[in-house]
Amino acid sequence: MKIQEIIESGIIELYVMNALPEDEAVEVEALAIEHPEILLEIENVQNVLQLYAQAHAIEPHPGLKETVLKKIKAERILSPPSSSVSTSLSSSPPLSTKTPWITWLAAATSVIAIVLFFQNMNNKNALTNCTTENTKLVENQKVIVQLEHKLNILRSADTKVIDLKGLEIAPDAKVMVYWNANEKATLLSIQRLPTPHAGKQYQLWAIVDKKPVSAGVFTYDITAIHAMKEFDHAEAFAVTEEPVGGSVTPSLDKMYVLGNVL
Amino acid sequence: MNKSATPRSADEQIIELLRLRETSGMSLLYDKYSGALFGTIVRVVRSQEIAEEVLQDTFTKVWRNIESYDTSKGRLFTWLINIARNSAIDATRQKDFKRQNQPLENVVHTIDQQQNSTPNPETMDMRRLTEKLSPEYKDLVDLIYFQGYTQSEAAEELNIPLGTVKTRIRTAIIRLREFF
Repeated sequence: MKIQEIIESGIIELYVMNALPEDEAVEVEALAIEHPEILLEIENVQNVLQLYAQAHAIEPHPGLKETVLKKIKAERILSPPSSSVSTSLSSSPPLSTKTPWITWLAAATSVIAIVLFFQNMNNKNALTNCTTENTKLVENQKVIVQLEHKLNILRSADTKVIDLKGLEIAPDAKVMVYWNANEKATLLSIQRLPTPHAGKQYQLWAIVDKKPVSAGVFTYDITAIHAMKEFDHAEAFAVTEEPVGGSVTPSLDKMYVLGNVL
Repeated sequence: MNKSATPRSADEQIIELLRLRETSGMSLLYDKYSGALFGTIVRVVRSQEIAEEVLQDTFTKVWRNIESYDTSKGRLFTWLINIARNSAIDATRQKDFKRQNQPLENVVHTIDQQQNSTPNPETMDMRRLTEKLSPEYKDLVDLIYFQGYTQSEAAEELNIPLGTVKTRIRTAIIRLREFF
């Protein structure tokens, strides 16, 4: 099945709602690792459904919060803090805007190291459940291959680094685009952007022959290196805020950052 | 909402605090998501008393299992609602569980009123918008997303083919995207 057919089949929606049989859910997860479009669609559906659930929220009895906190405080004494691996990852210093190459390299390398660490952990515990663990290993492998591909793009001398600077609407905003026409890759990293408004999402645009062409929407994940659509040619890149799922033409009054390809 | 960028998103901060076993993480998590989770649980168990127990149970499970939350598989809320929904379904399978015969919307309305909370205008607007979704779509979304029916259970319940479940759910989400 073609990617677009999968996206239009309704299977992604059912996956996010946890309504697929186990084997089909595993298939969707494998597809998501291979195809960024599917991953993006999953994120979009998750976003819509979260808003839907929040629209149907019912506030529980105000006293219930204390009960919950008391319960977990009682458990807290029994259980030790979790391993230092996850904390050292999340407490790493913010990425410097001056040296994005090195820091991204370091960040991505440590991600690989942690993936490998967990892979190793998995190996040790796998005896009892070889089949599922094997699937995980394959998934991890795919993650590493993806990261390596992104690293290669970042390393390449042909990659142009475009610094998208904040416009009037958010002067402090900053986004980096790494564009490699030969390798057919466009990567994006958020340096500083305001949290998008409810029901909105950021969208990247390439200016091709003076016309804006969508390079896809991306989630507000400031630690990720987002893979965007490919371009042979582009004069500039810009980011606008659009309704979730993106727009066909950019909302020019919601343009946050812009940068020319030098 | 439109605050300038913080170094990490609110969810990431909450996850880090939970992993560090800080109760402040649980407090933030509760404030942010208890309403949406409780709304889902109420729609499955249809009893305020049981829903409150299930909500406590849900947060305890989150506290114990935060290490198993895998950020690459999706956002925090999707993980949370899966835990809440499964806990609620488990509760309905207990021997002493008695299903209420009242229509779901009556139960939801009654519990909602009893809480005597100030409705958030933004939320109310969104809820009103979703009511514009025609019943064939809304019923299906609610059955699967809030009540945890699988695709085949939903097909059986609504007496429609499995293929129709897929196409309808796709259309429903596209319509919802237009609202939000």
